[in-house]
Amino acid sequence: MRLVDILYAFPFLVLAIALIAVLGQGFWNMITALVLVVWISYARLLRGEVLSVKENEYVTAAKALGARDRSIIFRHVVPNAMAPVIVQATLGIGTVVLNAAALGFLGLGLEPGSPEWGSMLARGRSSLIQGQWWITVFPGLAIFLFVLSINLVGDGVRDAVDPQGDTSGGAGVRE
Amino acid sequence: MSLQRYLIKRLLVMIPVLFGVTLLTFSLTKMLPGSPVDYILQFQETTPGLREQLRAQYNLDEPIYIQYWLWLRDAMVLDFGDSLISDRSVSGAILNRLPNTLLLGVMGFGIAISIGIPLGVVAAVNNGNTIDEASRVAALIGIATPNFWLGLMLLLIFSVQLGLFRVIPPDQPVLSPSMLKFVILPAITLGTASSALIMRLTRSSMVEELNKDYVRTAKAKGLSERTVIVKHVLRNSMVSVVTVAAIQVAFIVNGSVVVEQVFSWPGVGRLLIDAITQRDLPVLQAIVLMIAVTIVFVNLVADLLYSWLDPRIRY
Repeated sequence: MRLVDILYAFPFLVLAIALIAVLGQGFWNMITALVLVVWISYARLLRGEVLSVKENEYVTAAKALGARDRSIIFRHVVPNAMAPVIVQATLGIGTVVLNAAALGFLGLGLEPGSPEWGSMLARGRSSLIQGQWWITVFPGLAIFLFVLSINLVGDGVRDAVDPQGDTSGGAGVRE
Repeated sequence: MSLQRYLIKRLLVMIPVLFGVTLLTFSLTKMLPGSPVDYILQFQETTPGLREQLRAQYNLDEPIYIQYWLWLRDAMVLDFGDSLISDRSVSGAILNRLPNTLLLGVMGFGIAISIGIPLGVVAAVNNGNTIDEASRVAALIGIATPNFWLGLMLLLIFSVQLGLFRVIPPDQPVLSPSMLKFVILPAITLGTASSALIMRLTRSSMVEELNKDYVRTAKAKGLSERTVIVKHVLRNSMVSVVTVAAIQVAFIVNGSVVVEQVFSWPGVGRLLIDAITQRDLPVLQAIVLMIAVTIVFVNLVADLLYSWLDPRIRY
């Protein structure tokens, strides 16, 4: 977990930018960079959940029945620890899309010339000054609506799998 | 555990984290394609001894762990060498930009808190009715809006259509009055998403507190609704808000990289992007390290504040 602490010191985008600088631009490199950044929050979340779930009596009962560690972990502990992970995974799509678009906007996303909302916005910036507003308004609106829809789905998933969960509108999601 | 012992324990835990942070920064930048020597040799005629001389100058002729040690030793006294592009010292270049970024960050953070906390309180007090619903929708919108797009829209409305601000800020010392005007739009852009998160968190922790027994006691004592909320409930809800506010510092750093690009704001975030595109290795290393170390320390302060506010939490 010390590794997670270390990685947590780097803000999402800064780490992703540094990784893309190392890997180079391109679709799979961007995916790799984003994955290397986001896995951390799931590791941390699942660790906390597992620590609390394994204190439950049914785990003790399974041990007393002589179940092997492996089957306790995969049949009892992990399924019960997954609810918040599923919620965060859904809300996390929005975060990743926002950051991917930000990378595109900074010119560090896909190869130059690829159709991508973030880089469309970056190109529209100069036309904006000349009053051509539509080039920037619509790609941004697309990102916004996409992320909003995903987050609404995430809220629904939370209500379904974790009825007691918080309703902080994604406040637990790492940015 | 006393606060003092907790502080010592936390400081000891920080040592391996800081070590890891420096190691990761160093290795990431070492993995970048192209060495500083190749970069410099592009512009000079190569004489036989020059490459070796440059390699020695950048310690590239040493084994990698010696390179790391030499870099770390210099980094501790903030000596990151000279920028490959501008011939200035790296620390000088960063220090020159730092006030701009700090001003932007502090203003953005201020906006996030001064919108987020009051709205969160209002939403909690009106738990379940239309005002609460409206705040939920506002938060959803705030979180889903890409900050660079919000920035561009603000530029479009206030600079292009209404002509209130110049699109590109003038190149002046940051604390001059004429420059202060230009921080407004970037700071709003930076603060919006954070304010949505802070609002939701303030709301949920206040709703939790409002149901506690001491609230009923305070009301039974005959205290006014206002006193109960401000003096009792709000104070107790702030404990969890403090931790999230600390996370928001990382979020603000994240955002400032993008927002500075949108508004051509001459800060550290733009320096970082320039360093990446120009492969200015020493600048890149220094900025990434500086950001990571800052966040490690902010987290320390948040943890201490948290355990000072709620002495039950010391582990």
